[in-house]
Amino acid sequence: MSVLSEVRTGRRAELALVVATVVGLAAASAHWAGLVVGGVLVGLLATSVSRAVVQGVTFGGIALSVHVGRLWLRGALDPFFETGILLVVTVAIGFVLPTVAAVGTRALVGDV
Amino acid sequence: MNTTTRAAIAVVCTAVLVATSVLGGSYLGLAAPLSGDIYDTVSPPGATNVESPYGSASVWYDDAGVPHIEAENEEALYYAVGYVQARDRLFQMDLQRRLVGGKLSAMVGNSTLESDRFYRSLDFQSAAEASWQSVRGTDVGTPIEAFTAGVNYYADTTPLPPEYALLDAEFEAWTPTDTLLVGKLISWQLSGSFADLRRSTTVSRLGPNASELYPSELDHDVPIIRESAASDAESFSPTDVVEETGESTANADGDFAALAEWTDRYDKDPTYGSNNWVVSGDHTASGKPLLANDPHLSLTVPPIWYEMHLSTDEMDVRGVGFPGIPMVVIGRTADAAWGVTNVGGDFTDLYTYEMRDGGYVYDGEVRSFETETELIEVAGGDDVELTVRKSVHGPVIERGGKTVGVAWPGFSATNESLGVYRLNHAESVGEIRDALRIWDVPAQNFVAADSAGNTLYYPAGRYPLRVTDGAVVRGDTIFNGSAGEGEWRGYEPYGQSSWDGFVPFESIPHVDNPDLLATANQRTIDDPAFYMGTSMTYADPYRGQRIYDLLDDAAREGGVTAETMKQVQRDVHSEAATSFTPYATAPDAVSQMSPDARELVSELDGWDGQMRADSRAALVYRVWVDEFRNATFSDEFEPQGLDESYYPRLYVLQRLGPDARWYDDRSTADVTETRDDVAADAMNRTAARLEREGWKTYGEFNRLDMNHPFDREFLNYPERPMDGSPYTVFNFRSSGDTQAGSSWRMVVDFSADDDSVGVVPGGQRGVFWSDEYHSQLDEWADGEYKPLTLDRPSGSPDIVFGGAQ
Repeated sequence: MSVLSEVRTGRRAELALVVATVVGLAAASAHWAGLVVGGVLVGLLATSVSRAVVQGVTFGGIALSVHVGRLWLRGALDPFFETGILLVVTVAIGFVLPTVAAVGTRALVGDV
Repeated sequence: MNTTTRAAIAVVCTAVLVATSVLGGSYLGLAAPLSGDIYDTVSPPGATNVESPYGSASVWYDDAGVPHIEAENEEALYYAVGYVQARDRLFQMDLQRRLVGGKLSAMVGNSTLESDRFYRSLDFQSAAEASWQSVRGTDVGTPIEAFTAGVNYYADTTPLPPEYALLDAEFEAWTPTDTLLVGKLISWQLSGSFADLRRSTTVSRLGPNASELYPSELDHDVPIIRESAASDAESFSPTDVVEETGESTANADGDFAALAEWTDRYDKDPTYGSNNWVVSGDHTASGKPLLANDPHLSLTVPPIWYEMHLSTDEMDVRGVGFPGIPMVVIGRTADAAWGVTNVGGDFTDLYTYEMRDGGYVYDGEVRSFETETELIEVAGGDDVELTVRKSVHGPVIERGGKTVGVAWPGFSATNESLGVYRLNHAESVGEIRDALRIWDVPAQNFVAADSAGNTLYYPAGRYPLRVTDGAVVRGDTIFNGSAGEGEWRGYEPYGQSSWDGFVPFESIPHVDNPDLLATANQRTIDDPAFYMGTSMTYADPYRGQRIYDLLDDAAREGGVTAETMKQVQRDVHSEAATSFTPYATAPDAVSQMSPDARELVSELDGWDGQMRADSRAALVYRVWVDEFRNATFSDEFEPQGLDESYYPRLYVLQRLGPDARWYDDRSTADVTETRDDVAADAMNRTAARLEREGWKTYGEFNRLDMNHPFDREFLNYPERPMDGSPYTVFNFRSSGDTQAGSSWRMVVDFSADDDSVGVVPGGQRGVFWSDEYHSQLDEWADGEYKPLTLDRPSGSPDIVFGGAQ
């Protein structure tokens, strides 16, 4: 069993997923490409392509939740929900980038 | 899943990511969650510590987002002012300086190229540089430099407002000249005028009869100084300055339509106006004076004004200023207050030239224009070359084969920044009066009061005397510049003027210690000693009449309070409406109306002229008077290619006799129409228009609809129906894309209760994430206020400069 396979399915699989998510969020806080990095990381840890979809969407959802929470803490949540097209673009970026990155990565790497 | 399928998925996903990053990179950078540039300006919670090379200062923001700044010295104060103005209004400041500097296209592209051409042609930049050279060595020089440093420190150390991310633009460092450039823009918008082009073109195309539409003065009896004898001006005759006086020399008039059309959008809006008044302690409940002011300007997002409270050991002032200018322009100190309205005078002259050998004839010889070639940078396009020309009179503009030179006091070095600085330190009416001695542009009707009970009215500014052949002449004409007509002595465009040939300060009509005095941009005084303005430059008398009526009533009853002043500011009675309504309801007019129109006109029976949002009568009147004006003039003006901007004042229309020639419809050769015919036709058109538009009440027509320059829904203010009109004290008008009205309402009360109040149409911060983006909008629209005292919020400061505690 390879190291990656061990990380995907072993005892520390969930911990690995958490670490990947945290690293991805840190990267996403610095640059939009961090959303791709996060997607790649959670995609690598997915046990299947379909599982990569779930983990990519989940990562995007967490990133968006953190984003919304940060806006809420700074009192800017209401204006955010009033921005219309900007809100749509933000949500779309939040879900699409990590999900596509996760699926593409899992498909590329395959079972190891 | 087999290898081929997985490879295909991998390729597709990679392609999607690559395509997204290439095609949508700017959107990703702008709006990505967590890192998007547009989210950078969401304010972090908690206090901010800011370095300051000038000393310590502290800023407390109150619930409305008004900064209350206390500093150990003035440099530290103005550094903090620069920082907080940049924090709250940086993009607006940048946009203003770019507009008047002719550099908008470098930020937004070729849609603003014509605007850049206009402002560059008039070279406001050089005028601002001349002003900076004039004031940099004065008391206001260091404050402007400290302000500049504060703006740039903010821009260098914090994320730029979201607009920069949306435009993918950068902020260029603020300079002291930029502060004076913003001042030039405001001054031009209030006193620059090409009205002579429109009048001359109209008379040229419609014939000499059209001159009656632009009389030298409107025949009303409510000038600002109602009794000329009340003026405390020193006696003055233009012959004190020149040898003799003469009449207008209108020998250069003609058809300037192309120039008029080009300049119209940059001209002073004829319906802009403002109100202010002062009531002495003789009439107030407290025995202390009361002062009120509401300047009417474009209603913009964010608002044109920014409120501040500035304190040091030497000064304590609160009020509003323009973002980009560090001082309070309208406001109060502990013991004095002042308010302004625009003097509706004539401060712009135009000159034609005999062109010869590529130059112009002047003083008997051919002179070359002073020329400079400039490049206008255009975002996303090629640079555009522009040749800026100047004559002895000032900048020279040309359209449609017509060339004119433009003279305006503001093209010279001017001192209004120093004047405002001194106003901020004034603690008495006497000190306010002294500060006004150096006031250059724009000429403003100042009313002032102090806690000692003094009051003042002073229309301060530089009033040019036009000299032709040694005689002073009127200025409501286009002068022959080559013949030396209409010269301004002591005026040096883009240089230091001596103002020797202008009206001396003490000779400007004014009133020391008026009991009760109100200004609403109407004529200053009857029969002034020198030419001040015309019916085209002064406002219609409707607001002035109404304010005086209300204040006279209140003074008769006695015991005037701040609440009385607020009630006057909330007044929505239209003198224009009560003057025009009888024309619509005249029996001979009604008898010619359609059944639908008769139903409408019945709404006006017994109507009190209140322009309220829920009123159907106000809607009927408002639409009808538009149609009445159009039906009267369009048959003459339209065939000559003259649109509504050439129409005369509403008061001129009101005063036309019932059989005036302008009522006759030129398209009906065998019938001579009268006012009744036109009134009936207008009501028929009103019925059709209301049916077409579906409006039921005035508020559906008169809607507040203030849009951000980007006109995106999330950036625009909420819409709502509004009371008021251009001719009511509570001032608001919605017409096409224009939203204008009271841009700041203020009442200052020197009683022990200090019920001083103010409100802006919108909010303090221009950053749409902020709670203060439009937090005062409903208060303003409903005629409500917030306190304008010199108290600051308690507790810890929100921003600390230079380690202050």
